[in-house]
Amino acid sequence: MTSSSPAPVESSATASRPMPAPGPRRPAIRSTGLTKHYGARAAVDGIDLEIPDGVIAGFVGPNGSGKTTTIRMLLALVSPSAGEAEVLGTSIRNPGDYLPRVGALIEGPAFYPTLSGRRNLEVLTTLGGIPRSRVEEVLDLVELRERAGDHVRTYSMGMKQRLGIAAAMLPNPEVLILDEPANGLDPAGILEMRRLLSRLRDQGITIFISSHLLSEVEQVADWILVLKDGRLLFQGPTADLLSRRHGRLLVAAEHEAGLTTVATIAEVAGFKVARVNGHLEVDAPASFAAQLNRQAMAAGVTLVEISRSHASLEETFLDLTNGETR
Amino acid sequence: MIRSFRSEWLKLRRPGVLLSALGGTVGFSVLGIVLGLRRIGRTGEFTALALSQHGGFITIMSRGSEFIGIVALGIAAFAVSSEFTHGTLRNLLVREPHRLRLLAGKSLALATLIAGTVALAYAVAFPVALAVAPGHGIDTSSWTSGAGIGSLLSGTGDMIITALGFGLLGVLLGMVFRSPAPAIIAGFAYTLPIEALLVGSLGSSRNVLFAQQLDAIASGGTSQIAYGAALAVAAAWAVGAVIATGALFRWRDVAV
Ligand SMILES: Nc1ncnc2c1ncn2[C@@H]1O[C@H](COP(=O)(O)OP(=O)(O)OP(=O)(O)O)[C@@H](O)[C@H]1O
Ligand SMILES: [Mg+2]
Repeated sequence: MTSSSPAPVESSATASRPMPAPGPRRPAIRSTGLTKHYGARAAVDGIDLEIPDGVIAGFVGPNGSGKTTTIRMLLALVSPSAGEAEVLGTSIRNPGDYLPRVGALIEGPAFYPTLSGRRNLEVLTTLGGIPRSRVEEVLDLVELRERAGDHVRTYSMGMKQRLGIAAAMLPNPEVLILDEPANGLDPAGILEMRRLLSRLRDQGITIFISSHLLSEVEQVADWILVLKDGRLLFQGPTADLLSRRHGRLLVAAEHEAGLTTVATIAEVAGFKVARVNGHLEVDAPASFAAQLNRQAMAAGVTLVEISRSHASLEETFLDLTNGETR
Repeated sequence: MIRSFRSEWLKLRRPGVLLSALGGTVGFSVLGIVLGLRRIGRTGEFTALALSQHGGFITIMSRGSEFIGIVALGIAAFAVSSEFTHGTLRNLLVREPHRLRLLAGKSLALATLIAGTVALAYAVAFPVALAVAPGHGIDTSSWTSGAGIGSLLSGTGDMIITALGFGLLGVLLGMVFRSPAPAIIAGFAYTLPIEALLVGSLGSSRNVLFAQQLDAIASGGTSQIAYGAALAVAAAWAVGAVIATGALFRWRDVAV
């Protein structure tokens, strides 16, 4: 379980979002053996990232798994103990060559509390040589223009978070790196942010977004990376991960003997099966149900029940993150 | 570097920063004059007769050099270390990844603020002194003579050098401690009691300690430390501080 395994064809075919056309485009972010030690502890332990251009990539892992440390290395804030990484085809050792095309929100928004939101953004446009007109544009983008003249210390948590996203958008980035951007947002704010991210992705921006909750990113992300204890447990299309989650169909046949036939059908289609209390558990996505039913019928077996097992998203995530021992 | 300079000034323009810088420097200066003149002695450098010389105003002002220095140190230490405590440094470094450029622009902005406030403090304090001094038996006619104005300008320049030295110390301490309170406390402690204790127990250390040199520069040299020697030793410290600050900033991880 260290990287994406080939997914059943069905799951990719039913992915709700189109994947970018496979081709020679270089990945937006790539790393090999990227490692960061703090004393004896490895905060990030030799990860090989590969994030395709133009996707929303969800970077998921429990607290302390190394998400922020990875992001800091990609932004040249922290230097790796070992390994290499590239952003937009440029080594992270030359941050001046790619950071002008990158926007970032790192570990929560950070602003000067006694400056207005607008002035805070102007500090960044001035420093980055970005046209000041961008300030009003990004304020509109996050709907913060009305309060932009107020001191940031008077902002609510969600407003600060939105200002953080606005700041990240200032350079009109090709790559947007957001560390836990949903923290402090209310449900409406989260929905709004998802829409914004989808819109930006449709404009061709690659978005790398971390979260400790899989459920927070799986709805927007085309690509998922799962981190635990500094190691990458999974990376690949979201559909592949979801196929693991939806990965169980419970099947009951009219006659228990028929389950042997059903098991063979499922195995031939490439899925694992197990017998549990007179049921058959098939490690397959829901989309396989119709095919299974048809083939069983053709083989003369009548299915009396096909249901999805209800392993939650978080359970899948925990399975994934607990299953691995260090 | 220009971008970093201009961006820093957007922050320094905050009323809180300007008020504490101006209030501190101008306030200390005016207070120094009013209180200082009440302690005019009968002997030594600080008599009505000595202060009636063309450099009299500068002699009064240079007594407050440690206070002006401490204001400069505090402002610089705060400006640097609060980027760490606010977490804003990470945002700055994404927009300006050349760390030394960022630091140079920021330091230059702080230097202009410090130099400007010292100049303003002298500009405010001079007329105040002209008004108050005659009441203490000082004849201020030579203060406004050609030589008087010359000594006013060179004395202001010397105090600016002193304040910039303290500011540089503030930048270094801010970078070392990455938090305003310990940086400022360490700066005050070093400038006031620690150097005084060192000089008290080992008199010759007066010739090498940083703040001693800065004080001597503000007075245009003293009977114990010649002006040129003070400048040279202070410059050596400054080079060391610049290298230490730059190295710390250039190589250390930004994990805040
Ligand atoms: N500056 C530091 N010094 C020492 N250890 C650190 C430092 N920064 C991070 N760590 C350690 O590295 C590990 C990974 O931390 P990191 O902040 O990258 O995790 P994270 O996945 O972002 O967690 P969270 O979801 O809580 O934000 C943790 O064990 C943390 O204690
Ligand atoms: Mg984190």
